[in-house]
Amino acid sequence: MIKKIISIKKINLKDDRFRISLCNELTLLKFSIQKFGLLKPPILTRRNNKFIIISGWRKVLACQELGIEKIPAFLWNERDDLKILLFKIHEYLTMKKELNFLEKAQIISKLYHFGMEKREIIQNYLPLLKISPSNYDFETYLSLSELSPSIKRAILKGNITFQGARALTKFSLSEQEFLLPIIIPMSSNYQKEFLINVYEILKKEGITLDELFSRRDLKEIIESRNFSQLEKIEKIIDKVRSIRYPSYTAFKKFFELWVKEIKFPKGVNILHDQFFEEEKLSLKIKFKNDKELRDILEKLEKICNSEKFKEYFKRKDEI
Amino acid sequence: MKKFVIQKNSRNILKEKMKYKYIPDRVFIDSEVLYHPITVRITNNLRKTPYEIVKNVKSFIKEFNFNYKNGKKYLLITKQKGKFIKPCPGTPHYLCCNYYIINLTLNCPLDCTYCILQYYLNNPFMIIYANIEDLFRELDSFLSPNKFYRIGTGELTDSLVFDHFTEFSKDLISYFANKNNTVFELKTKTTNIENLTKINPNGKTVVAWSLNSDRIAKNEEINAPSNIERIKTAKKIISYGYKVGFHFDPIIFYPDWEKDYFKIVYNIFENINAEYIAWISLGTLRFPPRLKDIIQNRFPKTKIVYDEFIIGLDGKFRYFKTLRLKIYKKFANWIRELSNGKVFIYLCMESKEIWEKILGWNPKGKRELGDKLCKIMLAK
Repeated sequence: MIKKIISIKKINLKDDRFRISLCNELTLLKFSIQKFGLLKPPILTRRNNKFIIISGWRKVLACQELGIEKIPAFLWNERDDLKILLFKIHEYLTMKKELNFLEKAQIISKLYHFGMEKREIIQNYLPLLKISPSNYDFETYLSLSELSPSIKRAILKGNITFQGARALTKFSLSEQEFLLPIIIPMSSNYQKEFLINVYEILKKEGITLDELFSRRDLKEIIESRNFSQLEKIEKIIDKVRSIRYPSYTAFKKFFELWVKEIKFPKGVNILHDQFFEEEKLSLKIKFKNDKELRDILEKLEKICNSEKFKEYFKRKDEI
Repeated sequence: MKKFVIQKNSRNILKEKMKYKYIPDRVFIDSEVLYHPITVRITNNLRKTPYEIVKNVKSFIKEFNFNYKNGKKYLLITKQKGKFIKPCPGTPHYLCCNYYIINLTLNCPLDCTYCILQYYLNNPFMIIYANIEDLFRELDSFLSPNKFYRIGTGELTDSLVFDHFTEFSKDLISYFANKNNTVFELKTKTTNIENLTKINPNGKTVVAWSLNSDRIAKNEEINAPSNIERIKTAKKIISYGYKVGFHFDPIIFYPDWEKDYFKIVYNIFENINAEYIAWISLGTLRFPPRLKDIIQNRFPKTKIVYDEFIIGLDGKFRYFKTLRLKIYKKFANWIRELSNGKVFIYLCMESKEIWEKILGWNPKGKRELGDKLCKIMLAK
């Protein structure tokens, strides 16, 4: 490698074949360059009469934004792309303490598209990236690398978690763009659940995303002016869940209404397992002394004899 | 070892072959069983299939380019070094029927979309264990004269899908024909019964067919014969002294399920006298969450994983309880009416609550159910 002074104009910034990090946050770096100069020059190589960046993307971009026209750089005269990529990956792994999942996805995707055999990537590189060496994980990361640029930006900003991103990979790029503003305000758990529910409704009913969100009930929520943004999101999540799980939602509503109508005494809770799979319900009673407990038990006895109370057990299998 | 080119359209080619009988593209033989009589029998029956000898099976499997679909074309004959007989693992919180499994062959070329083997098995080969003499030794010490047993080969494979070249049915049926307290069950979706017609089961073997609706059979049981072919084959085997069973498992919910499944239940009783039916089992679709991803990846067109599943008490996906109750109620009523109550119905991996509500009773434990099934069959 030789060190040279290169004009930034001679660098092809569109060719990002060796780029791994997608981070474009340059504020601190620009400050450092202004104060101390470019301490570690980037590494470049030449393709089609232009230079392309092997490492030091953010440094070159920061210099460009600062209006610096010429920068020092190391030139590596190597024609084998895979060899350069491997160098870059190993350099990257030794320099960075913890890679984010998008960087890992970029590495896996580049290795694969540069011609390395899937099996070799799974056996040798997934463990290096702290990913279990399975075909399943390989495919997952490969699909993460293909997410739309705006989704990737949202991930880098911390707005989408790994689980949410993984669920997004099932959608086309235009669908991802459509879903992005809806999922950003959601917490990570809801993002995943919502996206999976949406995807499965589309698959089950054979409809498009447009068709789903043109449904009257969903459209009414989206277009309503009576809800705050957060309320709207909550209602959309609930509505999508009820479309995906109609029997479960109907049963849950039936149960909740029953509990509400019975008016159990204060301190009494009726509990069920998450999906009503167990036959039995449980009863939790909070009391501070013998008198309070006796009062509660008396009220409960009256409740047990009421028709309303028995109705749940009569009707629950038909809901 | 040579690497083989993966053929495009391999599923179509396999389907064409399966219309007749499964023939592997290549047989790999573990050098340990090269001269075993079972190996000789199989290679004689598969004369046109090229074979290769493998010296170290473990490293061969490890080095083989893993691809589940592709693996359906390759047969490996090797030696079972562990136990052949295992209790059916069942599933926590749900009732099991105390079934014992014989693992003499592993994997299945039928390639049903919902198949649990995609999740259980960690290599792609169709595996045949040649050392059947060790199985018989194991059975001799395992079977006690004071207990009842239901035992079968159809858990990690289809019991008859390889039988035209392994001829294992003849060995196994003959063995169990002399056991007074054991019911041997062959579970299949095939019509591969030629070898069975040459043996007298002595009332100890049940041949059971998995059935589904025609729509599910066509779209999800990719290389299997149609339901009516399965029922006609069941009808035929009765004349050779066998009792038959039917397993509606997995029952899959979709808008027209009721009409479609009724047709099949009706077809059974239209063709077969209830006296010859040992049992009919019912089980709705259920699967571990990891299998969902596998099904989605391997069969992107299938919709079966997108219905209303909840996580059951055993951590597996199953239909919401009210939906299961509705399905089982219909099936139980159809079967009772069409058989005049003569056919024993049981539920596979269901809760006591559902047993009670559908069948009006629930077994105290798996032993009670297992024994009951044996006694019913042996009394027929």
